[in-house]
Amino acid sequence: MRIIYTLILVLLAGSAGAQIFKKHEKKLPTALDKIYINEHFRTETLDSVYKLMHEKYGLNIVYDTAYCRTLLFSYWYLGTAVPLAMDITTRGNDLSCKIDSTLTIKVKAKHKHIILLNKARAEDNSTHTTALSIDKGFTLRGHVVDDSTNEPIGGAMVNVAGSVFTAITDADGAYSFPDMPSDTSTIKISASGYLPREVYLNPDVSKKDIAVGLQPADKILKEAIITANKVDLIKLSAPTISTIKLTPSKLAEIPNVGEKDIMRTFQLMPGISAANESSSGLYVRGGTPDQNLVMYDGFTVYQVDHLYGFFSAFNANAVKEVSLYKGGFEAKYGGRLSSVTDITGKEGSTKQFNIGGDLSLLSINLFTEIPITDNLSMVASVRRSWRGPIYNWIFNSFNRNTSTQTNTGGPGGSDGVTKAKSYFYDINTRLTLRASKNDVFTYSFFNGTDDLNNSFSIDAPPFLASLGISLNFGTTDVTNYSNTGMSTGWQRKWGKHMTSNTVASYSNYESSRDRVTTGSIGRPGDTTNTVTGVFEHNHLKDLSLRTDFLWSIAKWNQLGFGAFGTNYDITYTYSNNDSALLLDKKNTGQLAGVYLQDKLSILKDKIVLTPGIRVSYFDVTQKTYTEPRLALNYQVAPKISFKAAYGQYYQFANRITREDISAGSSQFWVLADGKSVPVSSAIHYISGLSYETNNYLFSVEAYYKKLDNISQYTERYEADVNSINYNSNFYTGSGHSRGIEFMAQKSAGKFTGWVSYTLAKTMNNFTVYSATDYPADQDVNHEFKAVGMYKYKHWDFAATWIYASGKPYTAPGGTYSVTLLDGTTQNYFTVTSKNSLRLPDYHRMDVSVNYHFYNEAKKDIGYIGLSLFNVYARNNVWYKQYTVVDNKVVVTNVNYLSFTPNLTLSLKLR
Amino acid sequence: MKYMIMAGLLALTIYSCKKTTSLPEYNSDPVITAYLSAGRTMTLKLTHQTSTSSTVFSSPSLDGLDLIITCGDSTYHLTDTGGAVYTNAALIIEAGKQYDLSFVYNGKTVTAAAIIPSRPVDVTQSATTISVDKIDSTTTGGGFGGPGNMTDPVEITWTNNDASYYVIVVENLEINPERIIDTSANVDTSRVFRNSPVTTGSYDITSRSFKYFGAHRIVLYHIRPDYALLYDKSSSSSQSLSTPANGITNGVGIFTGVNADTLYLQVNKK
Repeated sequence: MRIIYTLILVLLAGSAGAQIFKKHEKKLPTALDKIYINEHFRTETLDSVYKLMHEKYGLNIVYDTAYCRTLLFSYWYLGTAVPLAMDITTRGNDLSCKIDSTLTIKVKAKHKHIILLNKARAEDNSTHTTALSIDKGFTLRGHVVDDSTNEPIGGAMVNVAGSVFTAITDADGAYSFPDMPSDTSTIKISASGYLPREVYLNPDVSKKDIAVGLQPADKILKEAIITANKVDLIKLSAPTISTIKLTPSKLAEIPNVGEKDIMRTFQLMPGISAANESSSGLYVRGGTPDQNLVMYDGFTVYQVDHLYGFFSAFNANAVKEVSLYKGGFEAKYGGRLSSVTDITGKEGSTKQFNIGGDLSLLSINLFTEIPITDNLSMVASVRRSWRGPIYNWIFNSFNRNTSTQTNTGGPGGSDGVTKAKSYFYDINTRLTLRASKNDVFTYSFFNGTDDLNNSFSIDAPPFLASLGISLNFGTTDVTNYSNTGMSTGWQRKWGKHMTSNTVASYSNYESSRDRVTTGSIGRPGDTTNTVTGVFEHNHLKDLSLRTDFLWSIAKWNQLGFGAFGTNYDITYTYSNNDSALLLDKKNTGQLAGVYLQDKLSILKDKIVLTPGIRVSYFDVTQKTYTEPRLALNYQVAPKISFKAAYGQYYQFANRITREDISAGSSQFWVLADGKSVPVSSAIHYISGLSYETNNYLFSVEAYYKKLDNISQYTERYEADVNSINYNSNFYTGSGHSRGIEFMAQKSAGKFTGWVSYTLAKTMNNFTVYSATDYPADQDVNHEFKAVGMYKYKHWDFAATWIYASGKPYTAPGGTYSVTLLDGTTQNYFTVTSKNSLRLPDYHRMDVSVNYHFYNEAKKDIGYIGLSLFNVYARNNVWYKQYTVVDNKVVVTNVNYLSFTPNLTLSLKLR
Repeated sequence: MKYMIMAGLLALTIYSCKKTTSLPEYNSDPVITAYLSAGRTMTLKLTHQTSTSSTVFSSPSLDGLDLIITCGDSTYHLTDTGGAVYTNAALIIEAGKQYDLSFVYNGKTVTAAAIIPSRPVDVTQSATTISVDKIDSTTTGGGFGGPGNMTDPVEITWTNNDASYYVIVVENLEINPERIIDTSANVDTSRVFRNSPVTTGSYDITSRSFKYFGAHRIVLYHIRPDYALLYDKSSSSSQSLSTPANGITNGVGIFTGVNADTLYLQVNKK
């Protein structure tokens, strides 16, 4: 390439290899920055872009035609001056441009030597903002939409370049600046998953409602999929601390173990534990997954796992955006101690029908977008596992202790052994009705179901059947869980300065576990049945109504307020041997409250202070819970911001782990009753610094989290062995976690990625386990993660490496045997101090390569991908198994997944 | 301000982690096995635990200790009869009473208590004799442990108004019993079987539970919850490792009261 460019430069005046446009016949202005480009380029080659600029605007451009025919360009210029317009054409590729004294624009390879434009770079708009300044102090309004589907983009950041004015678009994509300094400003718009854009205002357009279309990033595939603490270059800090936004459309670039997975990708970020292959739930800053509020289009999701937690229940094809608040979250959110995951479903295009799907070694996944009318759109997706190699691998790993039967005969087979099927599926549907300019109605439905069945049965052999005798012995080992949720939302604009979002939602979580051995012997006129086992059933119903208002009182003052109410109905039963109902909890309760928060920009917007308060009343305890919150952003220097947050949090519905010694532990949701299960609480203290340029982000955040009144359930300690009371086995304790997270991210260019390191410690204090603090089960002291992605033409390459120091575990210190009443002996263990030992360190590397397909319009329409999980086949220890052989303890490591390849084919119509 | 921020971050960093690790601890607490059976003399066996560590631990001898049983105002000393088996012929266990154990081992006072449950009442059995087919698996192709022609289960009933725990142990009493299933395969040759503890007032002993023909003794034990816990609490995974709750201080094992009623059943060949 260098040779080509050298040749071009030598033959500057008209060689066959390069095109030089002579001076246009009409007279050029003395400065190119007085020429404004008004064009909308949609996936066109740079060659054709430059030709048009020459023909229509009379620009002299020198460039490599052959090379520029290979580069695609999309942008919507709204009165952009030539220097900036030219600069934009070179971004994200290997070009730079220079304007010489003859006003000739030279576009050349950046790697040869970089020549900056004489006056204007994108981040330095001072020369533009001073020109043609006619009007001041007006209100600028507009909205941001997806350029390809016309869907509004909420949460996009809109910044007036060279100023401190920043706005975040609401759910309807709308933004406004009440007091614009100039009508010739440059507006910079960025949103996760989209290419950033700049709109250069001029007196003709600046007072109108400016609709800005953003190109989805997957068209040009140049950006990282994650923007953490995204802060624009020359403005105030991003509004929230500890926030990560994720764009599912880019998930495919990350290696996976069968599915592109939202929750797994979050686990690659600092502060979120990655060494949890058996949980899709997020362990955020030492918190447990149930302390993470998961909301999907406004309703709460109580079960995020598929297939024992190896996959999350969220279909990436149905999700538009996910925001994760790792702590210190605002007063708008509540009901959880640690973190919030807010998922927004896709709205669907109102322009074009679309259909697509993924086929992998684990599942098949289909989605469609249907524009029903001009203002009504629908998205639907469905995914179902098939029992391929990956599914079996994981399923058998989980059932290694019980799955001793092999399926040699199949249903009705000659040996009479039948094994049941297992599967998971999920369904998402969303309807969006834009009833008017100010009203949007949505309906969203979600169902995720797992039917994990490890049962087998043995039927009567033929010789008994011929005697009229039926016989059936079987082990039922069925774990079912499902979460159904739906919400109806109404987003409304009340005049120029106020918006509201009202959501009525229902969430129904149900799980059951039957681990039963049954026997049935029948002969003519008589049948004998025997049943032994464990039965569990957990059912949670959550009916909620909430409304959120946002009122922009002034440009320095944005008031948020709202009200919420939830009716909980939770039951949990646990019985043994079909006879004894050991636990029977039935709880109902109402939680209602209000919140208020005020975002204040002070000291010339250098400081943004967001105090808030959330007040809840819980009728079960008949108490009022007050949660103060405070967030601070301080712009220390143009690229450096300091952030801090404090907050108090309460949790009313808790998922509690029931240690089950013989059948495996299980988890169930219960409602706090103020007695055996108190309302748990947490306090967060967070502070951090971030430094961000166009291409790089460096951040450090430290946190301290104190937890009180958290609950666990165990039967290992009976308060009174002479009177077993299973209801008395709830134990209350406290805990704390602290840590510091470092992250460096490269977010632009052909190579993107990040490295992060987390130093953390999570301790619990349950006097039932230990008189002193002990490491919590999820405690990981050191975590290092590296993610690299490289794009080359149609190819994506990616690799991730995770290192996590070992988790704590409890080991037997000794064994002993007891002779039972029937004369047999049974071995038991005496255990060491709770979690006093550490498993070996966890690490693994995953790599992936995808080849993308493009249609005639050069739009990405799918890919075929190979993903290699745990590529060097590290044996990461999941837990240890102890058996006593000849009076000695034999320790066996039970490992997580070893090397696992996966193939995915993904296609969509457009 | 910048320096204050940096100082704050530094302070949070320093306030971070220290490594937690240690070797498996070996607890040399003694293992007690004692079933205080109503109407019988008191017998108690002490044993050592086995360390899981490769390190050799030496625990003090369990012989010659001074074990004291207290029942109300009475105090009894148990005598070591050899092999750390302690007894006192004068101590006859009585239903409804509480017996407290106390002794010093390795510098620690070991204590435990047992309440003797009541004798099972209104115990009935649905049959005193049953007949089952002998099964020759080599010719019939069976092997599921059940007789060719099914026989009704034997139902044992008793009164259980307070959901107490009961367990049934069945033992073949023949000196040289004949197997019901004639097979040389690797099958369970135990002459004793039991059920898991139940809190009901009845239990069906299915005919396929029997492995041998001949006379059987059926013992219905009224047990305490701590014994029932021995059946529930057995884990081998580091995720849920535990020692069964036992009510023993500075010791492990079982120190519990039982009270039994005995029935007999004849299993004949058809």
